[in-house]
Amino acid sequence: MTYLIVEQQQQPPDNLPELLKQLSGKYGLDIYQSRQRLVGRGLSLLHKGERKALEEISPLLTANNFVHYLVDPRKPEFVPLRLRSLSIENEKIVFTTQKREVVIPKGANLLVLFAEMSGALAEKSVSQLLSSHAYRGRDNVRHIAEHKVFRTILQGKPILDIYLLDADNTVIDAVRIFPGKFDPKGLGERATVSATQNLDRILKLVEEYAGEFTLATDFGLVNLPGCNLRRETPDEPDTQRQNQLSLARYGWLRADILRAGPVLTSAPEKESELRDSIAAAMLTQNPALAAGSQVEEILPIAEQIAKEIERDDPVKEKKPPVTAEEGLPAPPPIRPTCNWSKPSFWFGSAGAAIAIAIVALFELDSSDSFGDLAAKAFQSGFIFLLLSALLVWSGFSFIRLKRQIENTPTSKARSIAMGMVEVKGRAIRQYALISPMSQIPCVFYRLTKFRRENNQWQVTSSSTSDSVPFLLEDDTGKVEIDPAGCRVSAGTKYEGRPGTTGMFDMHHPADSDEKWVEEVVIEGTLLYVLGFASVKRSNEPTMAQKKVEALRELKRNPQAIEQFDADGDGRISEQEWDSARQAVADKVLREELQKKKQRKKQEEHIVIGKKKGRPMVIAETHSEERLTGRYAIYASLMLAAAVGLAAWGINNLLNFFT
Amino acid sequence: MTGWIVLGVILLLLAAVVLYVIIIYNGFVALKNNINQDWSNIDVLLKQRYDELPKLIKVCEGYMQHEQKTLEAVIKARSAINTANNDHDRMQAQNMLTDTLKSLFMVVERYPELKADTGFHQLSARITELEDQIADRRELFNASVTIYNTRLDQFPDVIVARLFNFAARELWKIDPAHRQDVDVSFQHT
Repeated sequence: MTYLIVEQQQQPPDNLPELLKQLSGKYGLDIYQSRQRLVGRGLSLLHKGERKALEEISPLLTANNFVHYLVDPRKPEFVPLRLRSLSIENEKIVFTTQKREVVIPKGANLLVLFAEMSGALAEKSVSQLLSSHAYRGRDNVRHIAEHKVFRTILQGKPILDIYLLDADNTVIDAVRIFPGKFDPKGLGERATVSATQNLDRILKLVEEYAGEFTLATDFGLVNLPGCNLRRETPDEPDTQRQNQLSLARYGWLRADILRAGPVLTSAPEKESELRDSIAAAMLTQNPALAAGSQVEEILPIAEQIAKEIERDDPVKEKKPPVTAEEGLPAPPPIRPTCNWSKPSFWFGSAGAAIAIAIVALFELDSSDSFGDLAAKAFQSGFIFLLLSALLVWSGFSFIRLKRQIENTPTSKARSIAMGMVEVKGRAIRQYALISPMSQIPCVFYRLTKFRRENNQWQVTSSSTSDSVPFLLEDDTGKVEIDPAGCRVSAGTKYEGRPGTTGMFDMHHPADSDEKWVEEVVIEGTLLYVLGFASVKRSNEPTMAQKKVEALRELKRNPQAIEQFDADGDGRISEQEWDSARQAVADKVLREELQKKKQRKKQEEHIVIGKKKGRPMVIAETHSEERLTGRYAIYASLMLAAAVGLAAWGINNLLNFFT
Repeated sequence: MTGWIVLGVILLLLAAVVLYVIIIYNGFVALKNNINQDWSNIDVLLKQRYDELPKLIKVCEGYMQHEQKTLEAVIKARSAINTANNDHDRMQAQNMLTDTLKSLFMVVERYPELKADTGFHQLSARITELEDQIADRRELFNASVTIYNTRLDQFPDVIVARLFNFAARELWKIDPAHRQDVDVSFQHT
């Protein structure tokens, strides 16, 4: 079994779609998965199988400048030994472990893994990725910076693994260093009182002694087989040991990768890499991008060159990356809501109220006049008849809604007319909205918090993003959707526990008495919207307000007001003020007319929202039939229940009077 | 006692049927009004196109000295809309205007200076945009009519439709000349 491992590219290359098509068409690789594995930071397993088959894919990757490796992995023969103490000599460093001494001679070939074992680095990386994806778009995500990686490892739960390799990059020996678990005296003057700082000192020390030095800080971030990092949970005490084994597998695999060496790309020489790095640093005016083995030497030069470019080209604008999503404004504040406007709330509440009333009837003292009345209402079957009527009414509301959906033809976004409309299309964010629990860029979310009381889940609070409008795009244009007060049926649902954010802990332990349920309409999903189209209310000041503001501005500026002093006496007479006022009014009018000449886009002046007395539906489905079918089922169930309750109510009524 | 219960349930079902009939009837009324509204919404855009035309003709006149016939055809088609007495004539006139506009835009190809004129560019873009919107709204009108006509023939709606004399509506029809195949020939020189 051979692994085809690629060095991911941080930004997707221009020809990526073509490459993905070829990988899918010729070699049967899943397009989505391949994209995930080719774009990112670090190493990733693209495919595994027979070497011959993988060698066929290799030229395609080479042609697209993907550095990759064909690795025949060896089985790890031992795990690194745990360091107890060390001693530094002129020509070697001696690490004393629990079993034997591991000697690192000067000029040795070393592979060093600096790993974070708590999952904090992985979580930070995912969080950075998601927020960058949300704010900058899929093709411009920014990965966690190298210096942040290093800092996060030091602040988390670090482990330092040092592998001694031979000239062929085969593992000879290895040592594992836990902070605070060895005697730092051997570090001599380098020793500090901080356990993690001592780890850092050892890292620097071995770098000094090494001939060939390879540092890997991406354990937990890479997608390599058997090298996963699990998050520690109290339920699984074995996680630590498993993670340490994973780290050992990762170390051996990295050594295998070094041994295999990269399959030649179009620019294999280090000089070329360096040149590319400098070019990237210069182009982006970000010296940190000049990452390479000689980075420290070239950094100041790159910085200087970048400054020179900036100085020589003052008119050059710093262009933002080309993406439609970049620069989305922050969403308006989200208010905690109670779903007053939703039928589900009313049916639920009305049903619950009636149920409570029924229970209360049994509890009430018959001597109580209200209790007596209520008991009679129950015994006479009046309550059942009332409930039946309620169900008939709600059943027919669903029928009406179903027919309304069926009777409304689908409009196109570019030609929407005012009134009840139906549109279908893809949801696009207008604001940088991210779901609070799953941290997904979304156009709508509803977060409901539950608490378990007496073995039953009860809603404690609920919040929705219905104050945040979004856009719906079809093949002709976009239109704004305002979900305020609307029935939104989201297709994606996540369950988590309090405080959950990001991708970890998306499940809640069974013994938890609190849970969060998040319903999300993810950006890009196909939506069905039925609502009332109207012209957006403008927040702009009126003409009169603009005139008043312009006159105030004029009064504040003595130089500007001077031009209206026709007789030059240094004072503005009543007549002069009239002419000033006229001039200001003309100016404001001209500006207004100029603005009107510039036509507004559809999404800038039309909004589809809820109108009082009219239904509004936002559903994550592109099939009207499925939606109306669902309403038909609700209506049938309600009407059937109404008939049953009516029969029961009449029976009670007859018994009561006979 | 069972008799009373059966009677009660039957009454409830009857009430449900009446409610259903009301919903169907109201649905027909809403559909009819939707069709009228969709028709008027097309008119709104046609009016906008009508208002933009004099500006376009004015810009074109300066450059297209040799295309008086084309411009006159556009002006004539525009006037025909005003003189149309009924929906049918108005529809004919609108179709004629669409055709003359197409001819105008084709002739413009011969006048690079006119094509480069900012005013013409803006006006032609605006009219093209309006044409697209008109086409969309015609589609929407036809969709509304189709839903309405389908409902008329469906059970149980057909009973209510016959009871209250709801009649079928006509779809927007294009000029039969536009159905003919386009004759494309490439002359080899």
